Amino acid sequence: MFRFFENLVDPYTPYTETDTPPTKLWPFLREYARPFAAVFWVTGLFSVIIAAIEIWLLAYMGRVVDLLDNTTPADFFADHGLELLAVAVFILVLRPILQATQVALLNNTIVPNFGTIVRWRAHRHVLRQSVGWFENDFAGRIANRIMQTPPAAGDAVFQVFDAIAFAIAYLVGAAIMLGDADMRLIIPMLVWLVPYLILMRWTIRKVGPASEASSNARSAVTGRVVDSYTNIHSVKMFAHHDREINYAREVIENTRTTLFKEMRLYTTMDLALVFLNGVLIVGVVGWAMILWVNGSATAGVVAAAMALTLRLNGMSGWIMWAVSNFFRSLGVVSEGMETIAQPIRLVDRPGAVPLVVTKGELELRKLTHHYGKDGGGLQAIDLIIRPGEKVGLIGRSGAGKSTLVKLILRFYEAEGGQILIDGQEIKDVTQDSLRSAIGMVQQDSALLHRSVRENILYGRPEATDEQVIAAAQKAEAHEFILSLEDGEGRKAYDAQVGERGVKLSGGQRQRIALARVILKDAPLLVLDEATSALDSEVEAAIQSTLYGMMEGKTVIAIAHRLSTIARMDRIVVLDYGQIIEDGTHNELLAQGGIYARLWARQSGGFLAEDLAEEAAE
Amino acid sequence: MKSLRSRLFDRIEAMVDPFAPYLAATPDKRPQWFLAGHLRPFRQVMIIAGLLGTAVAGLELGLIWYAGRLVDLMTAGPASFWTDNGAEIALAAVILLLLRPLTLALNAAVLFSGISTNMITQARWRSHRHLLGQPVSFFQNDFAGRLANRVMNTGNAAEDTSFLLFEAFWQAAAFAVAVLILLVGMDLRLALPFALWIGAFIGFALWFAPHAGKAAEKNSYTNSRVVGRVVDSYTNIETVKLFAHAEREQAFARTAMARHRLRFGALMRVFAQQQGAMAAFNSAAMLLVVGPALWLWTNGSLTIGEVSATIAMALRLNTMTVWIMWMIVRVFEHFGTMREGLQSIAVPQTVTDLAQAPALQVQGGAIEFRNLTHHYGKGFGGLDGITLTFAAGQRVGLVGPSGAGKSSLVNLLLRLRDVESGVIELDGQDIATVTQDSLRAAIGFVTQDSSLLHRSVRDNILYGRPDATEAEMIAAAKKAEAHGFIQNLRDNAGRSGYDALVGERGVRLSGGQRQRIALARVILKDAPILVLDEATAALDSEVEAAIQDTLYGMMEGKTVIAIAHRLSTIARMDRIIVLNEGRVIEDGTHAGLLALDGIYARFWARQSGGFIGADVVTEAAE
Repeated sequence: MFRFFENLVDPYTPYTETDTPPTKLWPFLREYARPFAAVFWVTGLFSVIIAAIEIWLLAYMGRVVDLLDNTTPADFFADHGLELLAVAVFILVLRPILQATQVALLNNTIVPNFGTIVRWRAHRHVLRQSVGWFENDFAGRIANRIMQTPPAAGDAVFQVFDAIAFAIAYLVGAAIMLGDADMRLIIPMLVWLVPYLILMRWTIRKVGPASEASSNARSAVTGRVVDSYTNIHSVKMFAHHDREINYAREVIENTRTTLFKEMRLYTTMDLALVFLNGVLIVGVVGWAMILWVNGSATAGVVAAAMALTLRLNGMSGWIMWAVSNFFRSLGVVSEGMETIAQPIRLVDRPGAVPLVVTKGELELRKLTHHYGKDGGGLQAIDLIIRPGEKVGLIGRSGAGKSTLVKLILRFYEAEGGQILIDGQEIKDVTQDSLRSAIGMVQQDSALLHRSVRENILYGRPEATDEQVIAAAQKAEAHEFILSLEDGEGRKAYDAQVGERGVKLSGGQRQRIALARVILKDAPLLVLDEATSALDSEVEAAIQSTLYGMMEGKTVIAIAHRLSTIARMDRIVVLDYGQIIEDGTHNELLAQGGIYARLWARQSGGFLAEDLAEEAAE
Repeated sequence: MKSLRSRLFDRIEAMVDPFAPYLAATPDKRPQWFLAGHLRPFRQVMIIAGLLGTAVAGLELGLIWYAGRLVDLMTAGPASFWTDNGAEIALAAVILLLLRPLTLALNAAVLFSGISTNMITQARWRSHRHLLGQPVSFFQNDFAGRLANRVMNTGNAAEDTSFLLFEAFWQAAAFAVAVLILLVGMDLRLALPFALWIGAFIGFALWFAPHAGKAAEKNSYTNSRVVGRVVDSYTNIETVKLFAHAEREQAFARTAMARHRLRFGALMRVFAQQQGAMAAFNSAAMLLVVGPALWLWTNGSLTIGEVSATIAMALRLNTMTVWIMWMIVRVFEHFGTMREGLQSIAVPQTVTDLAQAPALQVQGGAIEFRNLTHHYGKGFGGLDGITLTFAAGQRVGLVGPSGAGKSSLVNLLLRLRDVESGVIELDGQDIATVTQDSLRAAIGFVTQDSSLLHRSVRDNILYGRPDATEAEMIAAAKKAEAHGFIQNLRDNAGRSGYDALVGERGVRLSGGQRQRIALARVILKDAPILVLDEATAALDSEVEAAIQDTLYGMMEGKTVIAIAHRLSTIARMDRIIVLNEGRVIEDGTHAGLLALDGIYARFWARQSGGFIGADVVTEAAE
C-alpha cells in the first residue's frame, strides 16, 4: 500500500544535466518539480475536497441546531434518524479514507521524494564544479547548503498543500456558507480579511530578514566552534582556554540577540492576530445576533456563524505560521541556490573525445596563468617533455611549480597558451580521460574517510585483492596496514582511516596514497613533494619503488630536497613564473646558476659544513 | 525613552541569564536529566509560564462556553435580547478584544523570549565549555564538524522540548481538565465519554510515540551519514577529480541517500498511519460525544446552548489531539537528537587540573622524565620506561624512526594526555600537579604542519601573547621571515596585510607561509622551554636557511627539545637522543654518537650525502 505511494515518483529518474541551472527561485523549483506535476495536481485536488468537507461539517452543525430548534425532542430521532445515520457513516468511513489518501500523497510521495530529488541533483551538479570553485568556499558550507535546501524545499511544498491550499479553500467555502445564510454576514468577514492580509504581508516582510539574520548568527557560531575544535592543538598549546570560550560566547550571545529580535516579532504578530480574531468574532457573531434580533436570521445561522468564526480563529494562527514557515523555507532555498545554482564554468567542450595516450609526450606552448590578477602564476612557459623523459621541477615557493601541475591536470582553465599531450590539446579531450592518464602524488595526500582498502582501490576500482596487496607492498605499506585497527575493531585493510586520514601518521598516509597511484598505473606521473613527509628510512625504501614506477613513464617531479631529483633526466628551474634554467644535473652545476647555488647549500647543508669540520678534527 | 513594549520585552528576556555561573560537572547522559539540569535556572520563569498557560487554556474554553451560553440566551427570543443581556455581551466583547490578546501575547513573550531563546543559548554555551575542557586526543578521535553539529543540535532540541512542554502539553492538559470540570457541571453523563476519549488518547499517544521516536532517530542517523559522505567528497575534491571518479563518487553518495530515503519513508509511513488512525479515532470519539449530547437534550437534561458548546468542544479537542500527537513525536525526535548529541557532550573530562592546583613556577626550565611508560592503553607501542634529565638551558635533539615514540614524549610533556605510569617534572614540579594552563604557557611548541585559526593574520600571531603591542607583533613576524609576504596578502573581502583573513575563503597560504606565521606566534610567546617538532620540514631551503638563524637565536637561554628527520638541522644541538621502539638507545653529542658508530652514525652516513647525492657527488667529482 505504502510502497505504491512511495514509488509514484522516482527521484533518480534520468534527466538532462545542464551546465547553467536557473538562477531564479521559481524556475529553479519548477525544474525540480517537473516529475511531480501529476502528483501535485492530484494532491491539490484532494486538499480542496477535504477543506470542502470540513466546512460542510461545520455548516451541518448549524443545521443540527436548526433541527433541534424546529423539532420536538420526542420526534427528533424518528424524523431525522436516517439523515443522521448517513452523516455518521460518512464521517466514520469516507472522511478518513479521503484524508488518509491526501496524507499518503503528501507524506509518502511528495515529502521524501522531493527532498531526495533536490539533494541528488544538487549534489551531482556541485560535484561537477572545478577544484578552483571548491577552493573558494568552505567545504562545510557547501555541504550544509546541499543538506539544508532539500528539506526546506520539501517543507515549502508541504506547506503549500497542507496549509495554504486548505486555507484558501476554507476561506472561500466559509464565505460562501455565510453568504448562503445571509449575504450581509460576509461583510464583517471581508472587513476582517483586509487587516489580516496586511498583517500577513507585514509578517512575511519581517520574518525573512529576521530569520536570515538569526540563521547567519547561527552559522557564525558553528564556524567559530568548528574552528576551535579543528585547531584544538593550538588552543591548548597557547593555554587560552578562557579566551577561546569567550570568543565563542561573543557569537553565541549575538545569536541570542538576533533571536530575541525574531521572537519579539512573533510575539507582536501573535498579539495583533489574537486582537484581529477578537474583532472577527465580535463582528460576525454580533452582526449575526443583530440580524437575529431584527428577525432576519434564524438561531441556526447564528450558531453556524459562531462555529465558523471560532474555527477561523483557531485556524488563522496556524495559517500565519504556515505562511511564514513557507517564506522562511523559501529563504533557505534561495540561500542554498547561491551555491547550488551556479553554472559550471570548466566543462568538457561539446564533442570532446577521450584522450589517447600513445607515447606520453607533453608540450606546453606559451602557457600563461595569473589567477585573474596581474602578477604571480606563470608567464609564457614553453616546454616540451619527450615521451618517457623524467623531469625535475624546482624553484622557490611561489615560483609556479604547483600552478603548472594544476593546469596540466586542468583543475583550472589556463588563461593563455596551450597544453598538449601526444599532440592533443587538453581542452579538447574529456576531463575524465585526461585525469585517468595522469598519476599524481602530492606532499600531503588526503585520504577519504573510508577503509584502507577502499582508499587504495580508488586508484583502480576493479582491481583484485591480490593487486591491492601487491601495490601496498610496493609502497612499503602492507606491513603497517596489517597492524591497523580502528575504533570499531575493524582491522588491517578494513580499518577506517578517519577524517582526511587523521588517524594515520603523515608517512603512513603518504604510503597509502602511493599504493593508490601504483595501482592506477597511469602513463604520466606527477610527483609533488611526494616523499617529503617520510622519514629517511622509509623514504630510502620507497625511493626505489618510485624509481621502479617511473620506468617507461613520462614524469614530472617537484621537490625542495634536490637530492631526490638530481637523478632525473633533466632539471627545469622555475622562478617568478618563468623557466630560468633547463638542463641535466651536471650541465646546471657547470652553469653555476641558481641550481648550482642551491645544490651547494643542500648537498652539505649549511650545518653539515660546520659539522664536517668538527668531525674532521 | 524606551517604549513600554520594549521595556516589557527587556524584562522578560533578562529573567534568565544563560551565561550565569553554574556548578560545572559532566552533563547527564540521559536526555530527561540533562534537560532537568538545564531547566533549573528557569524555575521562576516556568512558574509564570505555567500560570499564563492555564489562563490561556481557560480563555480558549471560555470562548466556546460563552458561544453556547449565547445560544441559550437567544432561546428567550429576540424581543428584549439587548436590554436583558447587553451589558454582559459588551463585557464579553471587551474580554475578547483586550484581555485575551494581552494574555496570549504575554504568554507568547514569556515562552519565546524568556524560555526558548535563553534555553538554546544556555545549552550550547555549557556544552561547548565542557567540550573545550576535553584533551586533544578526544578531538582527534572525532570529526570537528560532527562535534559542532552535536553541540548545536542538542541546544535546539533542549530548547524546543522545553518550549513544547508549556506551549503544547501544559496548555492542552489545562484545557482538558477545564473541559471535564465544565462538563461535570452540565451533566455527569456527558463528562464520561469525554473522559474516556481523553484517556484513550493518552494511551494511544504513549503507545505510539516511542515507535515514531525510534523511526525518527533512525532517520536522523542516516541523515548524518549522508552529510558525512557529502562532506568527505567535497573536502577531498582534488582526489576525487584526480582519479576521475565523479560517477563513482555520485554512486557512493547515492547509496547513502537511498538509505536515507528509505528511513525517511519509514518515518513518513508511521506518520501516515498515525494520521489515519487519529482521523478514525477522532471521528468515532466525536460521535461518542455528540450522540449522548443529543440524547440528553431529547431527555431535557441539556439546553440547546449546552449541546452546541459540547459539539464545539469536541471539534476543538479533535484538532488539538491531532496537533498534540505531532508535538509528542517531535519531543521524541528531540530526545533522540539529544541522546545522540550527549554521546559526545556527556563525556567526563579526562585530563583535568587537581583541585587547587598551583601554577607552575619556572626557574631555569630543567626537565626530568622518570620511568615514563605510556602505551596508549594497549600492551605495546608508545614509550617504555624512559628516564632522562635535561638540564636547564640544554638543547636536545630527538631522533628515531617513525613510531619510535618521539611525538608521544612531547605530547606527554605538554600533558595533552595523562601518563600511564612514571613522572614528568619541570624544575622539580610534577606536571600532573600544576595547572595545565600554566604548564603550557611555559612551553613554546612548533609542529610540522601548524594549523592556523580561521582569523586574521594579526589575531593568529597575537595568539602567542594577546597583550603584545603592534610593534612587538611586527618584530616577531620579521624574525620569522614572514613580514615580507604578509604585506602582500589580500583576501577576498579586500582586507590586506595583517588584517587579511587566513584559511578557508580567506587567503590560501602555502605550507611554508603557514609555518612562518606559526613561528612568529611562538617567537612572540617567548616561553622558557621550546619544543620543535619538525619545525622547518615544510619550508623550502632558502627560507629554511634564513629561519634557522632565527631559530638558533630563539633557543638562546632556553631548554630546547627538537625533533627532526633531517639530521643536519639538529646536529648542532648540545645533546642528541636516539629513540627506538619507545626506548632510549643512544645518548650523546653529535661527535660522540658518530664515534659510537650505531644507528645515529648510520642515519648520518645516509643523509649527509644521501643515497642519490652520493652517486651524484661521485659523478660531479669526475
